[in-house]
Amino acid sequence: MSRVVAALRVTAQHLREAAVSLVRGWRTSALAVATIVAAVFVLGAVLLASATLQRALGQWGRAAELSVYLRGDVADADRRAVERTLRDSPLVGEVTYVDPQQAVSRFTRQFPDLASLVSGPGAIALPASFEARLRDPRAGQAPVTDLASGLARLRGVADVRFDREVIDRLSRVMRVTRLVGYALAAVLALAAALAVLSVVRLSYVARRDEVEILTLVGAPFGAIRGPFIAEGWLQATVGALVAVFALAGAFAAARARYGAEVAAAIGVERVQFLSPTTWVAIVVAAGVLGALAGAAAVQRSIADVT
Amino acid sequence: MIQARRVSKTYARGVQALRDVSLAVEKGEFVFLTGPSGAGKSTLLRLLLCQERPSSGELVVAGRDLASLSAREVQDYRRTIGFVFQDFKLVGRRTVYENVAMVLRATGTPEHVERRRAMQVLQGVGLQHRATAFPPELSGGEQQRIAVARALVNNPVLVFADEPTGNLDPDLALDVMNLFREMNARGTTVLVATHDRELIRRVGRRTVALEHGHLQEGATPA
Repeated sequence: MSRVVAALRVTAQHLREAAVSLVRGWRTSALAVATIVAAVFVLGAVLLASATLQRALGQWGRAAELSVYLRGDVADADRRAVERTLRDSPLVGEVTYVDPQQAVSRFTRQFPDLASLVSGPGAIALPASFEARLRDPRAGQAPVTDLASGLARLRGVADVRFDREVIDRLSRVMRVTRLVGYALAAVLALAAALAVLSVVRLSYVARRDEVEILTLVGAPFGAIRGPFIAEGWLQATVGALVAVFALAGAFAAARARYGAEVAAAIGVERVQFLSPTTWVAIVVAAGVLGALAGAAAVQRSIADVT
Repeated sequence: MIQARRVSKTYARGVQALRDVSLAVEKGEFVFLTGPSGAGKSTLLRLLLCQERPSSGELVVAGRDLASLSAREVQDYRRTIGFVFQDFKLVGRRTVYENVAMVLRATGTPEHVERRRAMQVLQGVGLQHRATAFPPELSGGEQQRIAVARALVNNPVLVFADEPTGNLDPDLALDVMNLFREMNARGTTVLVATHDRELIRRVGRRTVALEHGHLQEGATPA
């Protein structure tokens, strides 16, 4: 217990020293923090764009439909069998039954100029149908084709339709955008990591004398490294936090002005900010990198002096 | 206190800074290490501070064989000595008080002890009123007195000084030398490297001369 208390006391002291040092060398600190803010802001913006695109594609995928048209003389038992087949399929999410009257009113609403085709004398009778939303279009074309073939063989089914091209293309686009998103995020994360490492290490160049003097007065290595590690951690964490808050602010402002239009355009209910897990991970990772950069910088100086 | 036996230091490309230097400094002595630039004074001090290791020979300080110390033991050893450099080696972004107290803080001295001891030595060098100032705000003489205060703050058994008056005018140089004399009077062994013969004459202590890495007249062989 006393060891833990001692370690906490030492950590608090290192953090205090680091904070004092950052304030005193505020010009260098501000430059370092600003660079980290810029790097993390760009990374966050790309992650945000990527996450939004993935959500939009997912939404589009869920909108992909499979329509099963029934014969006019379909028996109730056959209709229930079709419905059961759809509901039991792992590929299918929501299933809606559209009776002939509902089909007519939807057609009239969507194509008012052609309303006379489905109402009045000599009107075409629209069939009843089931509309099934696909759970995940990334499942690809083959399983959906198998399901459609099975449904077409059922009694009472007149026709089964689904847009194979759309489903297949959507599936490919989702795979590619996900890969591109990951690659871009990885490159930007690496760039941000390098920025954090370089900036924290550069800010020590002017302070090598401090490490040299502490080493010459016989300070234990832990006591020399501690404040520098704490300083690296503080710089990077503050930079990442500022970047995340700036990004959240920019996002909130953009959403207030263009949110509804963007949501409508990409087909999502509401555009959302990065998940808490993502931005906390960004801040924590930046802090760890900053601490590592501090340790690496001071270690080199210690090695030079000893 | 210091035993050097046939100590040599050779750098890359065969540059020999010290050749077979043998020297003994007793506990409580005040010794000047003199000689022209390039004679090997700073090299000997770097060996004594464990910044470098001898190429050959034996160097024992306060019972420690410096050639065999591990990195951790070097830090332990350095905590028992004090040092003063010509360029003061003060941290510009720390206050006068922090520059002096850093030695105590780094070794985990309780805060109240640190404060008392640091202010005590600052008072000893006449600069307690500048405790919150930063080194660049001080004159050269004041900065060197801070460096002396830092060397004294952990009650070292031994103090090394490398040209401590090199950047000071004669009167300030004598002021700083008086601080060394005071610490020596309290029992601390002092080794001062300087090429200022006038200062050596005025202080009047034992002198060890180095020339081209060799020990010259006035030295006490080990």
